[in-house]
Amino acid sequence: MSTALPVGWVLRSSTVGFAVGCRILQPSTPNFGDLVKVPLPDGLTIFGLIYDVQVRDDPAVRQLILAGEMEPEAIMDQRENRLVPIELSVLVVGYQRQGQPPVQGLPPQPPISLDTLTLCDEADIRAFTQGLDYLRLVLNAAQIPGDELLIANLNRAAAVRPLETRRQFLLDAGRELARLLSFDLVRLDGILKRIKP
Amino acid sequence: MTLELNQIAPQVKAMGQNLDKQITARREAAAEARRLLRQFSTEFTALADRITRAEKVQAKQRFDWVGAAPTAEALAQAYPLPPCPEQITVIASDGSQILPDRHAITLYYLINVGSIAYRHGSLRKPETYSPTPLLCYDPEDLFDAQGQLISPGEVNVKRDMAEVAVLTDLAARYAPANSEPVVALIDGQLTLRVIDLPFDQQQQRQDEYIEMLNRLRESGALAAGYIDRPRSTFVVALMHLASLPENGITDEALRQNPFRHLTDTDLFDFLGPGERSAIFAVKAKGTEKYSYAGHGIHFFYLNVGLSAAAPNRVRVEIPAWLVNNPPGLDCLHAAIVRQARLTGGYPYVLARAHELAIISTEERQAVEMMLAVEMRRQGLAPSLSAKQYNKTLLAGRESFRL
Repeated sequence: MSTALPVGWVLRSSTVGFAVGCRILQPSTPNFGDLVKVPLPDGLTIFGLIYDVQVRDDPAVRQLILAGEMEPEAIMDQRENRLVPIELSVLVVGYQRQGQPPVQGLPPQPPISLDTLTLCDEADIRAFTQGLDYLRLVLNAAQIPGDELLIANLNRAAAVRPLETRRQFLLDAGRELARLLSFDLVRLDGILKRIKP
Repeated sequence: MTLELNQIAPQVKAMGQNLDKQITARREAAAEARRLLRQFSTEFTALADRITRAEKVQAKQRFDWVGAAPTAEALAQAYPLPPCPEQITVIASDGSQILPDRHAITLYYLINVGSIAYRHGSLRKPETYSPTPLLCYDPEDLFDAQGQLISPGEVNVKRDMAEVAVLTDLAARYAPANSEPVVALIDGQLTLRVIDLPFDQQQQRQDEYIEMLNRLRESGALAAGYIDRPRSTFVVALMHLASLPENGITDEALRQNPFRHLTDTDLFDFLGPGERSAIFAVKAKGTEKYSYAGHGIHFFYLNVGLSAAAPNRVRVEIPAWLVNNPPGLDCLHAAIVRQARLTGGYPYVLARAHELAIISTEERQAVEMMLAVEMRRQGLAPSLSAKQYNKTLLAGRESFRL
């Protein structure tokens, strides 16, 4: 499955995360927990997880709602013709230099404005989730729904693996989480219940 | 130094009291004007005689009487909202411009037009069109034979022409191909405002514009100009004539208008949601060419408000050929109300065409940045005038220093 089409463009960024603007209803608009990537011109690719999707306020839409005389054509115009701003928030979890395996950690530089975001394909997801060091980055990130993010991401990563390796992947992830959350068994239990193979 | 609000406060208080007095006087004048509207509702001959008399009086003073003339519809009657065809196409265009600025890095002007075709009942997304923006920088575009820089009024005429050209193209594309009616909306009056042009250009531009209206008519589209919050006084002027005895219509009497603080919308407070007024013909200097070409300017008032509690009376200008097409007129009436109700009071297509055309401050800055880069590439040294540069600094914004 090819998902090379850009789904958005970087609005602002830092080393640990960035925000991406995109248009509504694109077929490849990513979901919460999806692995995404931003290729940089110098050959570096930054990987991240979508942890928030926000539909920004739009006074024109507010006006249409208040008028209450909505027609399907107007809805299509608003959604498909107008640039209804959708903002994706991405937590950086790794990077990759051309021809080298991915590194699970923070990249040397963040993406810059208008760099293109694409959705990772199944091969990308399998390759990136060969290692599970990124789980620590997610659990340590402040002010994001880290547990929900990991549950969504691990289930997606398992789903793109062959049936025979799916269970082993989730068991390995569970073991890594048990190591990282050994001090917080309630939290660990909450995650493990929802990634149970 | 910023505006000293404490010094304005007493004036604001006085203004409020004055407004209150004005409202009372205006209410009394409006009641009298509405009474005349009812009294002369079908007195077409009496009104026509008075108009003829007023035109003669004004001609002696080398003026034209400006006002409304009745057609065949009762003046004090409300005309109900006709049913709207389930499938109807509404097209609109709007324009925006960057005016030439002698303090900018170079002299140029830019015209941008946006347009949209909205097909009600099609279950298809509306189609938007944005022709290539027109960047004018040649000395021939910027200066007249005497070396005078093109005025804002002249740029506005070019923008208006560009808007109608796009609308005409859209109408030619949609109207013949559709079995359903096509309504073409212009934002503002139906006539081209040429008063700011030199006289020879006035004639030429008007001819070109009328040619476009001819094409609009040939396409079969139902064309109209939509004027939101109108301040016009055509019907008020007619009621002033009605208030005078026919032999009392003198130059002096015409200048003493007791209804001068009213606008036409004050007379049509009886229009319910979706209802329109009678159709009137415009009597004004500069509209003769339109009449000769069959586009004689007519208008009606229309309440596009959603409820009786929140009326929104607008003026709709239509050409004579549409007045003589009652089914087309009903379609136009119904389509405008349907469009305005989508947004709660303004045709959706006009709002969207405006959005597509508008040049934001950021976009203007981006254009100027592109120009500056290109000028540098050509070995030129672009710079703002000292006045503009300092204004930019004092306004607290960042400026691009070149």
